[in-house]
Amino acid sequence: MKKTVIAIALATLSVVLAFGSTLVIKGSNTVYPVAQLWAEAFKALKPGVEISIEGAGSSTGIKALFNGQTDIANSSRWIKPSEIEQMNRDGKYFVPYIVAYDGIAIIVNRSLAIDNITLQQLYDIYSGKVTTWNQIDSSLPRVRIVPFSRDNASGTFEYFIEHVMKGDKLAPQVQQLASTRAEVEQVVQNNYAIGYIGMGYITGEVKALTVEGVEPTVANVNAGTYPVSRPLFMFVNATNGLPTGVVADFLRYALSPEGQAAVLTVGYVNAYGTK
Amino acid sequence: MRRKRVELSAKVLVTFAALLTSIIVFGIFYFLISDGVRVFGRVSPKDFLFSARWYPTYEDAEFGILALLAGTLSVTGLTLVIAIPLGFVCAIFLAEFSGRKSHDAIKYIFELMAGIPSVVLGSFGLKYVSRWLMEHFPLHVWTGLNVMNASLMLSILAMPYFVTLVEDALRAVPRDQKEASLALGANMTGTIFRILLPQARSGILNAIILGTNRVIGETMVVLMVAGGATMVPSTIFDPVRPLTSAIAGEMGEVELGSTHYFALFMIGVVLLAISTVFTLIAMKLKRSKGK
Amino acid sequence: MKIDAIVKITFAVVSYTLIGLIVALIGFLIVNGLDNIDLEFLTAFPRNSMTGGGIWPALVGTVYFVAVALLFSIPVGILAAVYLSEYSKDTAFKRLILTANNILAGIPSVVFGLFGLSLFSITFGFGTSVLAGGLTLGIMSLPYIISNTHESLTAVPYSYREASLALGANRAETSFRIVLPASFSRILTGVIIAIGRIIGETAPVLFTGAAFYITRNPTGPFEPAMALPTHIFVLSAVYPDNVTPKLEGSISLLLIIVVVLFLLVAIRRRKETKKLEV
Repeated sequence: MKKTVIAIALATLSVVLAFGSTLVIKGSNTVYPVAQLWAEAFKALKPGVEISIEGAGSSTGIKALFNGQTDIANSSRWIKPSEIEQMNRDGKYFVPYIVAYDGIAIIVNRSLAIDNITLQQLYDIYSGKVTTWNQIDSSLPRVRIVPFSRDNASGTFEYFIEHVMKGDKLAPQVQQLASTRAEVEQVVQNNYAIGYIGMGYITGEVKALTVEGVEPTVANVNAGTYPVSRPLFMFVNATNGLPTGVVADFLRYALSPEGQAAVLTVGYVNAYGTK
Repeated sequence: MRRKRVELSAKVLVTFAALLTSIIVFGIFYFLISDGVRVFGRVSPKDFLFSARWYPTYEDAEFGILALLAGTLSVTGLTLVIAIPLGFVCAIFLAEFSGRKSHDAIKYIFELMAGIPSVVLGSFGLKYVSRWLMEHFPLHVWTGLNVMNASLMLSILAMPYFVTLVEDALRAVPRDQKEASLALGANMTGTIFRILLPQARSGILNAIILGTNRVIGETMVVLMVAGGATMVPSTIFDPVRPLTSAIAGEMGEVELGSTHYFALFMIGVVLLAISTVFTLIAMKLKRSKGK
Repeated sequence: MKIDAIVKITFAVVSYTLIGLIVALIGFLIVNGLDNIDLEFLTAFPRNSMTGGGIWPALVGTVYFVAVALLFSIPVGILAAVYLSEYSKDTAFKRLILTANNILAGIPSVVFGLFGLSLFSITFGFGTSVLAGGLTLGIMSLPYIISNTHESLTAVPYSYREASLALGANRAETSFRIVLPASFSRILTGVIIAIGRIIGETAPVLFTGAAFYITRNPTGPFEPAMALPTHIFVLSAVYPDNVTPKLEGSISLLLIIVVVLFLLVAIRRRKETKKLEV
């Protein structure tokens, strides 16, 4: 009985694999919201294609590309030296496409009388060298700074450590939250909190600081003047030549003017186009 | 002949099904330990257990779980302080003072309470409890996500365990002891505290152990509201990062086969060891009570 | 006498206050999201980065995960319970199985997640799939099914077995034709409890079977699926504030399902105790 069930299930599966075209996308949680929008629109254009997206982190996505478990690996970081080594060892060749840019916004409570922060001040706060607000600006109250961060495995975290902390470690009292939303929620509630989030998550309830005097806006990220922004990638396996078929179609859509316009609606910055 | 064969194969089948449970337990130990011990290729067991520095994703990564362990202990401890007394009061009320009808209704609510999905409690704590704590204890609370918030939410999950098991323990005390005490002129309150509770001692201990085990293993609540800071807390309003939340928060994005991955499995082994010890103690207590 | 009254009133006040708070909490969370539940919410795929559409694939996925879990845990659990109550004597082997079952019941859900990931997803190569997630939940629910069925079988009066054996039936026939059917209703109650326990589980499925978003429901056991509790986590973790209506709706729906399941259990239990009293 059970055997028949399994056999039938397997048969269905192989039929699906043979006739429907499927597209598997795995990787960075940061890239995920854009990827979902594209998937929705792409599905509307080509109803025959089935798409599944898993947000599992940049490393997991690239790992899945090695194992052939995904067609596209989303990544919020460049490929690591260890991954390049493995690529050479396995005789594989991955090609990255920059699909969007993400600006990292520094947010504080709206009641806090501060508008600008320098990279050095950020470093001091997050490394624990500075623990009260008056040490940042003597007009601010002498109250404990409450720093928030993303979980230590997320791409946003990795970027922050590399570019703001220069590889140094966060102080133990920095609160690492599982979600950006929770960070925003806490900054809204807490007058003395500070956090870093993707620009797409900025709401009217929090204040996004200028960094080194530059506002976190689409124009400034595009112009390269905003100091904390990064490209978002989609990696594909090009060992046997550049992608064709449904993978190529998907990327073509993502990089089309229409696809790039969608990037802005989820709060990221378009990589191409004139807008 | 055919009946004999059926009889025999039935026996083999049920024995195998029963054995499967043990095989699964063995398998869980095997898979977690075999992945977990590989962390010791990079980190010494001493540093793993006794260093409070948990920096798993840096160039010079460190894998000390002491702060995480402290997080688990503080959250569990405070939860017990809240949930045990309240659980006792409710259990005594249910066992000795409540009428049949209200008893059933209350019991249902408590069962439902234990069934609230923890992810739901987590999002409630994140949005409402943290704000409430910030507004009402502004002098002590510097962040809304902390040991207290997690313990309040966990108490909701743990209390029903205490209520149910303590009530069972109280009901298991022979009725004649209670009646004898009342007949001798003792009042109900005295009877409960001098006769019933001491008599139900081992059952109550059992309840506390099983409830504690459940609290230690809870994941989504602490992931969402305990605060996520890898510090050893000094007050109940400090943020912490319990063992389970480190696994759940980091597993999703960790690279398979990395030291970090193995370290998370080793944390799983620590949790597994704690829960196994607690279960064995509870079983032993139950057996000795049975005799 | 006076002190009794004081104690009774204090205890009653504490108990009813707690109950009141819990009912208020559950009620608030259900009512809070109720406005967001409509036909589209229940039957549509998510749209516009989860701000539109509904949670249909999460509902379907939850059903699949629970179904795979039960497909594993009901047969294995019932057979194991039959062994414990009908076949075994008080031997070391029986004690080993009881111990294993208790240990299994006490293991934290996140540890099951790690195990499922290591065994089903990686070693067996199931990947992130309905099968891997469902089996992980199945193993989690196994001890509930075993304990409950074991209890139900032991509650069947011994005379049933004696009568059956006296009529020449062997042990297998007695166990499966007489004892098991006699306790069917109670076993079913246990299954409902097990469903209530696993339907809201997040961590184990998050590691082994859950996709954040899919464009069609899984057509085979080796595909990932969405699930209601993981959807709640994803909405509250990955997305900006504009998904709040969908989040509140999902929380409300999950709570309604849990309340109904537990109500079902309470009603069935009541019937069972009444039957016993007659």
